[in-house]
Amino acid sequence: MAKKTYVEMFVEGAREGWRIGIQALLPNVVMAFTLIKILDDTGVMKALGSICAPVMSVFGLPGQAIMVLLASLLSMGGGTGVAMSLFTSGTLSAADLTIVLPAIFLMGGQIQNVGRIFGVINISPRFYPLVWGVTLFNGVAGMLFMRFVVKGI
Amino acid sequence: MKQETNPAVGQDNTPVEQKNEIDIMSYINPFLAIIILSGALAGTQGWLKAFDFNSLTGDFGTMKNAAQTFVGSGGTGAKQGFLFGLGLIPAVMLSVGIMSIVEQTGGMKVAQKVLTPILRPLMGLPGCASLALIASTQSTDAGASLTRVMFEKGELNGKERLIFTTYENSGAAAIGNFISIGAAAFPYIVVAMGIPFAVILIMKFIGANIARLILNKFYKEEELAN
Repeated sequence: MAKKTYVEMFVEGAREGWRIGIQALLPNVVMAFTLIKILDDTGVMKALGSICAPVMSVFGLPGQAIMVLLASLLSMGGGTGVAMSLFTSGTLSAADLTIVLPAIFLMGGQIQNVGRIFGVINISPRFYPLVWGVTLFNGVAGMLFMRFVVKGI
Repeated sequence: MKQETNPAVGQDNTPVEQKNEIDIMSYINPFLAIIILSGALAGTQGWLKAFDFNSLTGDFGTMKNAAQTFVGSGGTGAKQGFLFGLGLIPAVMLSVGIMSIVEQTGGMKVAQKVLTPILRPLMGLPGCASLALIASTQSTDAGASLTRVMFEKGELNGKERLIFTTYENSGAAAIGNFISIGAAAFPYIVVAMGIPFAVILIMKFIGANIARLILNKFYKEEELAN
């Protein structure tokens, strides 16, 4: 058999990428977006926001910023979208946006990740808490560090 | 490159056991499905909307100006998710395609040579994990798929797989996502974008090492193999 060209190697990989995209990725993303809609419509997201408000002052953020983190858990795009809309409406200042930005990505997409990371890698659910715990720590530490950078001690 | 990924959450290599017993949810689920699919709550406002099929299906975004992609703005629900999800696929095809060339031209062996001495002290991972590591900075799915394949080939053990999972899960596809999605915020933040970016990468590394410490201290490899 003749040696494969780079083009053939790439196309082989791209075909595999298409399969992953259609079979593993797209159904999970549609699930996540529908879930976001249900949480929005039922008011669960909003209620969580007002309950958790006091916690956010630890990071020098207004209470509404919890919505950014909750939306981030569903998707990074959602988290960024909420952050930008709160910034546009003046609820978050430029400094607040700076503080919360790394956390959107450090803690982002956790619900999608159950399918896209845990499901694909096939790790046992008994280790989800370990991975989630570290992820939460990363986000919290990231926000505290950004608070220090932006607002000092 | 052969990758076996699960088509959906919970459908892994292990066959999903079919539960045939009737429980309380067997009665509730058809009831909810009838409500949702019948359109009985169409046009309602407030939380009832969450049980209307058309509302859950949502809308495609619309392109209000030439700068917007086909995802548009103002989309909701499953339709928005579908377009957003379609938009993710080219990046996956591209990164898996590139990784395919790297792998088939012997890149795996070179990466192992160069990174083995660094990755082991850095995160307790074998050097061959470097490819998955690089892929995972761009694409969550490419990174996760590669990790699964490496475990199945025996290139990662159970502990290493969990360390890698932890590394990837926090700040998934950090570079790809931050540069694309995060870019929306760059013009407005009060520090250079390099600072939050560095915070993300450093915390990913620190987090992986926390997982490594915990796994080393409290678990034996035999407990981690599945």
